[in-house]
Amino acid sequence: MNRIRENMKYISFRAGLFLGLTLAGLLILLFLPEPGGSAMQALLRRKGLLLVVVGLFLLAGYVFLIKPYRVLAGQSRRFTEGYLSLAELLESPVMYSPSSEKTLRHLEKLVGMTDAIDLSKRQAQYRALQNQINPHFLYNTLDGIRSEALLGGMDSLADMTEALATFFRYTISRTENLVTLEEELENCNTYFKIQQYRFGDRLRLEIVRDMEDWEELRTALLPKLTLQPVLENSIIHGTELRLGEGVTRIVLERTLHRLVIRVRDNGVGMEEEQLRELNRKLSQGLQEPDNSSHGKQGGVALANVNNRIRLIFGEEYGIHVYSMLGQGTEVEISIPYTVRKRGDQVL
Amino acid sequence: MKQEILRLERVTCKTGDRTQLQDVSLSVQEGEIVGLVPVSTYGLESLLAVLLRNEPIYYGYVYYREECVNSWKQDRRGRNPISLIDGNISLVEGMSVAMNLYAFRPAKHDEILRERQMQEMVRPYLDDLAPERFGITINPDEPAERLSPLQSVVVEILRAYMLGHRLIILREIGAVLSEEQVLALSGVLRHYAQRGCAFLYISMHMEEIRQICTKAAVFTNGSVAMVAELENREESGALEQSSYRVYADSLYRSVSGALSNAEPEFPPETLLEIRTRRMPYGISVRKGECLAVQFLDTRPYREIIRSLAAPETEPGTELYLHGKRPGRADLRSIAVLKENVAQTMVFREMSVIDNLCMTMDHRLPGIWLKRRQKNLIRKEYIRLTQHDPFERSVSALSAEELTELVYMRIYMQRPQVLIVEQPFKGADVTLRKRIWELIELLMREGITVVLLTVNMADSLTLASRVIRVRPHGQVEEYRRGDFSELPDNLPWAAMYRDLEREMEQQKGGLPSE
Repeated sequence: MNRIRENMKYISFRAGLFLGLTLAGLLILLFLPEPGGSAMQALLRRKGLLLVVVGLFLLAGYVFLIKPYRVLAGQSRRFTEGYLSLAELLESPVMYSPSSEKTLRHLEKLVGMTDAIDLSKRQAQYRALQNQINPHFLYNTLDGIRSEALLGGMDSLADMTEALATFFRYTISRTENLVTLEEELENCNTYFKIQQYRFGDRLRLEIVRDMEDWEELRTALLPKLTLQPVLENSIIHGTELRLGEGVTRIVLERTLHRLVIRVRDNGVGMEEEQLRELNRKLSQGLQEPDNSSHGKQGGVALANVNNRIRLIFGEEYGIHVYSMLGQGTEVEISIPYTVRKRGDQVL
Repeated sequence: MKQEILRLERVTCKTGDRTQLQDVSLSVQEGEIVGLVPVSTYGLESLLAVLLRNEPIYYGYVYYREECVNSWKQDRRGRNPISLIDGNISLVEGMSVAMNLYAFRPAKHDEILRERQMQEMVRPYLDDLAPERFGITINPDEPAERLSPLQSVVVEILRAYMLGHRLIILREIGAVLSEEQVLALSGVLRHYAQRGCAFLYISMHMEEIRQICTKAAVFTNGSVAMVAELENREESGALEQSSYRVYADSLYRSVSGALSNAEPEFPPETLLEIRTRRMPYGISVRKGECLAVQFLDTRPYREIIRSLAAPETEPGTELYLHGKRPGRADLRSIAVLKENVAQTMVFREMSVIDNLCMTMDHRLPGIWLKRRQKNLIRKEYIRLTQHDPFERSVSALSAEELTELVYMRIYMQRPQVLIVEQPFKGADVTLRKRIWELIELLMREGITVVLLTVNMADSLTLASRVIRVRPHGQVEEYRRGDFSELPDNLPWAAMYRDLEREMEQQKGGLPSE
């Protein structure tokens, strides 16, 4: 009985108005006083009124039935194509029938539970790994290797070990989610230094920034480990495969509301279709990165960074890739411009 | 820190099941002149509709001056304060420049009635621009129809600026301007860029983009594939390579082959001669030649175009074929292709085969009724083009297929001379390659070709001779061996210079760079 009542409420909301308008129009026609004037004038007036009623009927039909249906169909399509999550679908301004809404809410609960279980499982795995590594043991060992190398006169080995220790310290030990751009760039430089031991002069890193804006840029906040995975991706899938010198440029810019970072390489680039597919996946976001694509274009690293940005700042931000076969690739990272104010909590 | 005038974030547009735009991301900042090179024009109209009219989008966000004006979440229509200027000048004829500038302002329309006051209001804007600096003079009293294309474009830009539009889209403006005028326009754009405007300059030619823009993006199949800072040589080189990759190689091979051969000899007799009021000396072409005529002033160009369409309307225009005025018997000896043949030269109510055979009656009388001959023509068409469009209706054909159909009609017609008006105007890179191949095919069949152009585009790669008509009718002539002396900013002129240098080095035994 309750269900019938709920469904009646739903129907009355749209169709009630629709039927009401139609009935009102018909009533006007039925109880209209006999018009004066000639028979032709009366007929014309009645016809005119009939037209108005039909017009209102069509308009009401469009506003209360067709338009909501179109919105619902569009949102469902976006959901099935992966642009919308279940939560977003439920939040979007669509009128569901009460029973459909109930089903969707229940489904959301079930999905949420699975996600929470997955998340806690992954966190537990990560903690276990972190405990196994025992950072202090790792740093002490690396420091030991560095000292031995210095004593043995192997300066480059000492430098390399120092760079590796710095890199791990930043990656493993720092627990905050948001760091400054300056810190991220330092980590990139450290990572690049390690890669240079492998590639030598074949690799070059350029950081381009407007010195006028640098003071504002360097304190801008971004999720930790946003830049390094993108840089790694650019080296491994772009410049490493290229014959001759590989140049990676990091261009830093800010607009009124955004921090824009472009990581560009002069590597092998990618096919148009591959690029479309990658950008489509990044647009859809918040999906489990597909491990099978690893090794092709580094879809996992980019998807991870993109997902983190979108989770923190919203879907208007994230990563977009530009590329042409043989001409290199550019990864554009877009983040809202925020700085840590005095007294702000470390996230 | 600059203001972001336009930001497209992952804009996706769909019409039914067809995706017009796919994840388009593009940012244009204050003071930037961003070039957009459409390697394919698919989705370009949708992009403009989204920018100008906030057409509904399937996914993504559009920001104008840092404010979200359109997104997949909201169904908000209405125009954005963005201007579009293309080759079709939108100034009102019969109205003066001042009135054109002032009439479209949202308020204070009463000044229109007080002409002096209106001119006073317009003058500071004209003084600020100081068009004389760029070699352009604009008289506020001049009626709009008397303005040259460059003056009209500048007035349209000024009008957009006065309306407060901070993003101005220029679409294929180069097609109506000579390279000198493009250079002058570049100065005007930079002036307004310094005043806080931003420009999106859509052009099919990298030479033009390089000359004018600070940044460029390659647009292909409804996506922005690549963005490059043009000041960075490596980035701009990569962009150029990618946008021209589809056909630069074959073009380069062909031109270098032609240069290494001895310059072709043509018979001394004139095949066709055209004289007009503004060009009393006329232009003449010999059998087998491909003559590219570039008009540095559009007035004689328009005069020729009008006289080719309706000679009786243009007194003073004379056309001679083999030294005689062409009669009825010569009807099929001279063929003319208008600008944008896919739109202007196809009869949509006729079938594909009838469109193809319509000018063959002099070769095959009664072709309309002869099914067997039509079948043979159909087979020949498929053999030459590797396409079979005959089972479809004309409206279902793509721009490339329609262009092919029109050029193949000329192939079947076999005229003595083909006159083509701006053959590459409005064509994306893929279509340009196809047009180039089709004209070459006609030339191989012995058809003499005259290319009438304002912007040379790719005509230089086909021409055996170039005539440049200056504003007062003076004429400069260049043979193929002299193409390297053509101005630097003319598309493909640099390639002739490089090839010539290479050949000289080879002759002299010097190592190439």
